[in-house]
Amino acid sequence: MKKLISSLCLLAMIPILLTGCASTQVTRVTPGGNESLTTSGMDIADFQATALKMVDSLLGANVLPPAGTPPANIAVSLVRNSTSKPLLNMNLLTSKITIALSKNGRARTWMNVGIGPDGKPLVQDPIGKATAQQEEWEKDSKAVRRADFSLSGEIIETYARAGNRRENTYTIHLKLAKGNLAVWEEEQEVAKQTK
Amino acid sequence: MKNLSYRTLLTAGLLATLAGICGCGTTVNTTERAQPVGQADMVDDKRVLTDSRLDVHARIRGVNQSMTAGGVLRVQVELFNDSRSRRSVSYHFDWFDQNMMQVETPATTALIPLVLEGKESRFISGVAPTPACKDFRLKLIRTY
Repeated sequence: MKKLISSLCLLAMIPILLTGCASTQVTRVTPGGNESLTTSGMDIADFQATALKMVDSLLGANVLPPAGTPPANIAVSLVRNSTSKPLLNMNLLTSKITIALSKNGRARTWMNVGIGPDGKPLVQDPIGKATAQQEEWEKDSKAVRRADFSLSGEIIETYARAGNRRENTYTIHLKLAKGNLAVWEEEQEVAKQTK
Repeated sequence: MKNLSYRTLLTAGLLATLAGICGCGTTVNTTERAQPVGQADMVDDKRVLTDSRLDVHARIRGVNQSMTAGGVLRVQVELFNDSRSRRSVSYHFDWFDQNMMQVETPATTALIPLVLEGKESRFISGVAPTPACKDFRLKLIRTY
């Protein structure tokens, strides 16, 4: 009887010991894969999918020089963040696009649109028009070439609530401008619903 | 007699509930030209089906290809949800050059989510990342 009781006590201790030894488990996952986390914000999977659709649209449009010709220079301008998440870095989207275009051979990233009188880079405004300062600087410079295109845009968040369901929709609008003219525009939406 | 009528009512109620459940999924009606004017360049494809349910919820009806104005391969696949319920899948295109070496960019590794309503047909497309890409592979996976 005593042996039975002591055996049962030992058996009961095993799960307690196992759970007591349990620690936080960290697992490697594919970024943006099926097992990666889905939140109500813009996840890496959303940036990847949006970048892919933007690149597909841009490559399918007849705006960039064809393969075999000198690539276009694209300046990455401001992608305005109009969401409730101020730390959202839109480079997560634009870098994927510029890398894809660079590997495609039809475009290269222009690192700075221009250098201002104070030595700091100037960024084109969203409609693609260079600032007056940049034009003045370029008149004095001998070997300056303005970027062929500028890539800019905006991400806007809309929020809806119905009962205990909340929906965050992110509208990403990108445009490629040649001077003052938007030669390509595309819009993608990502909607997240939380119950 | 009372038992019979009670049984009959119960059976009728169960049948009505089942009919309601079966008819709950919303499905899609379509219309198009009887004789399409466009000419599709259809691709003979090789399929490896490991998920029979996915084949019902996102059946590949056809694959066609074209070249973009920039000389890059574009592929379009028609998917059909043969069930009566809304289904979610994710898809991804792999691209290969003429030596069958995979060509990757940070954007091409993405899994794209897609929702198909009951009996809905949708077209998904992919554009090759470089003009050197000659072949492709479409991957489909369930996300529900």
